[in-house]
Amino acid sequence: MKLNISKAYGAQTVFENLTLEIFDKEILCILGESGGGKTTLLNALAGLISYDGSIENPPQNVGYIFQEPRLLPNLTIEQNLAYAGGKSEDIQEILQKTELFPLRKKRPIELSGGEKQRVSIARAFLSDAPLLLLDEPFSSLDTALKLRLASVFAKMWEEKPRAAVFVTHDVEEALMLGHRVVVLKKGEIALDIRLPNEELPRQYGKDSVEKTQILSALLGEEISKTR
Amino acid sequence: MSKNAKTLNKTRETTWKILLRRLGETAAALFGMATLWLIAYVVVGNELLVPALSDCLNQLGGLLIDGEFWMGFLHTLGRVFLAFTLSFVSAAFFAVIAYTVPWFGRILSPMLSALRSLPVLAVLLIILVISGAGVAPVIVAFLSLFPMLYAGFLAALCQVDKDLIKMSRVYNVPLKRRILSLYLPSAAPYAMRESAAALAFSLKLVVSAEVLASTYKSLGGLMQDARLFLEMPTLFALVSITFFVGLILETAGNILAEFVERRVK
Repeated sequence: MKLNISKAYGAQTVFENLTLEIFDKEILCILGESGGGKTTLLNALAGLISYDGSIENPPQNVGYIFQEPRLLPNLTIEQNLAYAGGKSEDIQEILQKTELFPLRKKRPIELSGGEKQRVSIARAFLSDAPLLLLDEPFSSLDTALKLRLASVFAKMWEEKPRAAVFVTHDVEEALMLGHRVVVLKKGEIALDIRLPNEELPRQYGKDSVEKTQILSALLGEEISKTR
Repeated sequence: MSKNAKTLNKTRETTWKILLRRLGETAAALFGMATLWLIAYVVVGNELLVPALSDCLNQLGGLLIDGEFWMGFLHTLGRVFLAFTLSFVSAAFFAVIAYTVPWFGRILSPMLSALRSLPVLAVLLIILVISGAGVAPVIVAFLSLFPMLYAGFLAALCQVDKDLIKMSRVYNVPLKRRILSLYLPSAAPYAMRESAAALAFSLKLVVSAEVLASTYKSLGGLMQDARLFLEMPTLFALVSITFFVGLILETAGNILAEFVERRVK
């Protein structure tokens, strides 16, 4: 899928002629400063907002893991998955895989933050959507929970690989789950690198050449200013 | 058990407990009213202005076995429910349109503001010329209830979680499922509370209009007759019945709203 889009809110341009290719069975991580248009890009891909330009072969449906789980409070976990269009047998299967089966009759209020986000991951994988969108899904979780959920995500993705766009502001998360990392800066691509082909999730917090490259792209100006 | 689960269990009061609590509150309110009545009776010291509570209770007993009273009572109740139902259905219909087509809501808004500021009982005099005294109270109540319920329903729809609406769009959730699982459970408790208050208000409006229109076969008409013949205990008994029915309608509505809210949350 190839896109070339521009987006502005009134006089404020978010990005102009942003050209990006998203490959099938690849997790593309997008890093960038706050307000840099990361979520706007996801919303454009999900068809939630209008934009100028084009997206080649846009997906008919997507799986979306939001920053917050966004579960209906009046429905049980099982019903929440059915609400998003899951078939009964698929729901049972995914509940087993994500270790949510014992919690299936509970309502979201009875679950912890991590459990709720696991339901959100299950919901995204339940559909056969060719594109998964992740909007900082682990940002509100502690490191241990983050690593556990990253494993759940990687396991689910290995079983049903597809294109995924993972927006985050955490370099470690991007290095842990991405096949490719793009750094967005002031609405433009400052860096686009491919990470080594290793089993996901990669080790959290590991130093690498790619990490230095990403940090330089993210903080380049700030580093030179402080020197 | 998580902290959230404990909170949930704590809020899960059984229905009979809610009923008992409500009955207790109502009994306390009635006791307070009776005390105020007695104080007013002693202070005013004029049976024509404030009759004795015992006389009113006697009249009340007499009314309850009087066929004419029941005929008037049932007709009034019929008008109350008719006005409420008409207002409820049309307010729900227009609120849904205004929610889905915002420009329609913006056009409707000044019209409803004008309707809200309308002195409906003065309008009753015009309506009486056009329609009969039996229909006029229904129209008067409708003119007041419709803008009130419309505003309540629209507010209920507007407070449905925007993030959940966005999630539903992303997952292409069919409209029927969205209405049943998202919109109704989110908006129903708020809308139910508005409706409970509107139902009691409907009684107040209908009876007031009946008094002014001297509607035949109505509680208001009976009140007007009692006033003309200076039958103060009967008048107070009729007012007490109206007050009591209003209290029952509002309490029943609130219990239903609370029940729905608990089911939803």
